[in-house]
Amino acid sequence: MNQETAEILWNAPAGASVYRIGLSCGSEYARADAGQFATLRLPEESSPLLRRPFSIHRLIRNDGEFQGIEILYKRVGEFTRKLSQAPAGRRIDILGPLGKGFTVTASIKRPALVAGGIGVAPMVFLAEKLIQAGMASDGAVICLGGRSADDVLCAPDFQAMGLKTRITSEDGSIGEKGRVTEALSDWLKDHSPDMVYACGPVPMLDAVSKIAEKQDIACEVSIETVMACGVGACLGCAIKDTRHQSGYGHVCIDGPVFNAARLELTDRH
Amino acid sequence: MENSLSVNIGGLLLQNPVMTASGTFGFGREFESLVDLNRLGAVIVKGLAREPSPGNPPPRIVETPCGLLNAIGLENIGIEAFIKDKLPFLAPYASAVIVNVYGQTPEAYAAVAQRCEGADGDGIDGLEVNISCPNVKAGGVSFGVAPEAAAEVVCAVREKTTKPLIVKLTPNVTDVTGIAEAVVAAGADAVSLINTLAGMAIDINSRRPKLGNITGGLSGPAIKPVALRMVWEAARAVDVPVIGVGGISTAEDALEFIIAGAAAVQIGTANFTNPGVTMEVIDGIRSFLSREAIGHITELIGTLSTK
Repeated sequence: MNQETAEILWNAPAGASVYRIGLSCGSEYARADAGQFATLRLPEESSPLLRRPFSIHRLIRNDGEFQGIEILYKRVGEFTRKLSQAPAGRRIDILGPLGKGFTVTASIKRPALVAGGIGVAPMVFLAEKLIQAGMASDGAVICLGGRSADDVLCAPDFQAMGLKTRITSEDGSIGEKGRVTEALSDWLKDHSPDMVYACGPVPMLDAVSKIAEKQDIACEVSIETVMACGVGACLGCAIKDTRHQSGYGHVCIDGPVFNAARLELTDRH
Repeated sequence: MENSLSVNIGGLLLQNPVMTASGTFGFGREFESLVDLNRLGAVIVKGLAREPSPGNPPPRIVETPCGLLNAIGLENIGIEAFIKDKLPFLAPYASAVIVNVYGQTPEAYAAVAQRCEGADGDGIDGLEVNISCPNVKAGGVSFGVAPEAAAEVVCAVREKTTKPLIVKLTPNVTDVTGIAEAVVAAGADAVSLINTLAGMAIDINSRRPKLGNITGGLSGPAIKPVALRMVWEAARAVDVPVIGVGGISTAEDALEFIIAGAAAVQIGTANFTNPGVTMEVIDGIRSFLSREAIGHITELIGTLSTK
């Protein structure tokens, strides 16, 4: 983990209110795990006060040489509005890589990835890592869901990697009409994944973890919370965690990826 | 130790006046790769009690304009685990180690202080008694708002410790000087102020508080003017060193507190926004002294001119 000033390589729209930003950060990120995150601050801005956490979307390589990281973000508040206006060439304060990522081992051959809306951000990196670890890409499925077509992101990236994709939208404007959890349940009728990975809103993660638990499939979820320090000092990002001695884990250092079985997600939404 | 920035805080010799505020720097190790732990004046560790405690239900933090509202609730690992698991890492660094102490009763505070006296507590250079946390129902701030109760806690700790004793004061009082005078009379070697200001934030859509604890403590740049005023008042009221805390995020902020009468400063919330901030503040204070041709930091303390 380190704090550095990175150059913005690009910062371009990637959909409705969604952007991809490339950052020329140090080689420590070349060893980052999928699911790890970094916190950003615009050095010239005094507001908002706190750094904002973003998961690593993918590593940027040029002829195999590490160049930096890309973050996929949605413009939702003051920070992301200001970030979306930052031009290439500008410097940005980045702290990372932080947290614990998804478990990736050579033994995982047929996982189901589940992403809701901007929760897809760490999943592209995860799919790459799984393939690098020896997974045949057509053994995996990614269920992508959102409210409407605008919220369903990165489908071409997964298709290019060779993953099977299942797309849902709540309004039916793209893919099957319905929730992403229904797509997962459908998949489970004929398949038995060896792992479920999920990232998205907490109600979705709660539903996904219950489906996985019912079928006795290991499940990892990536949790987003407000956090202040990102390094385990302030203890602000507490989450009920049955494996933690105090009863609370901390999203920034114990997560953001957790084994779903140890969390109590139901009372968080 | 002797250099242009060294200060003596009630018998505690620091290589410079920049400390990290309790609860904002963990146990130092969290910042190992971000800060040179040999360069700080002191690390004040996360508040510790006799027994571990889980802290408040989430959400525990919410950002407000220029500030951070928190209700962590003194989640803590307990003094025993600190001495066994955390202190051996931190003690060898050149920065002083100060243990922030809290309890439910004067006796519970004293028990933590006494535990620090053991041979395995040698690496602990001083204590900071927290009578000012607004986020726990029993203990904490209930002692800090009445001179008699504050003095009772300080007396109990003073009896059990040989180490320099700092008392951290709350701003949630009408007159901070009365509390400061009472804790000094009870044996405090220094006072630090301010802890967070009690506050709250509401989600208008759900009509629920934004914090699990309903109310919390406000920190960050928003509280700096309040802290500065209270440090100035306290420095004129007591003859022990005053440590300025509250919204410091630059060397200029720290210098304002020093000119107001602070012999040292603590940096808190800024560690979250800019983890390397303490190094920048130390360098900035040194540059200022050099630019102003001031030979030693002590020549600057309390030099506010109000004429």
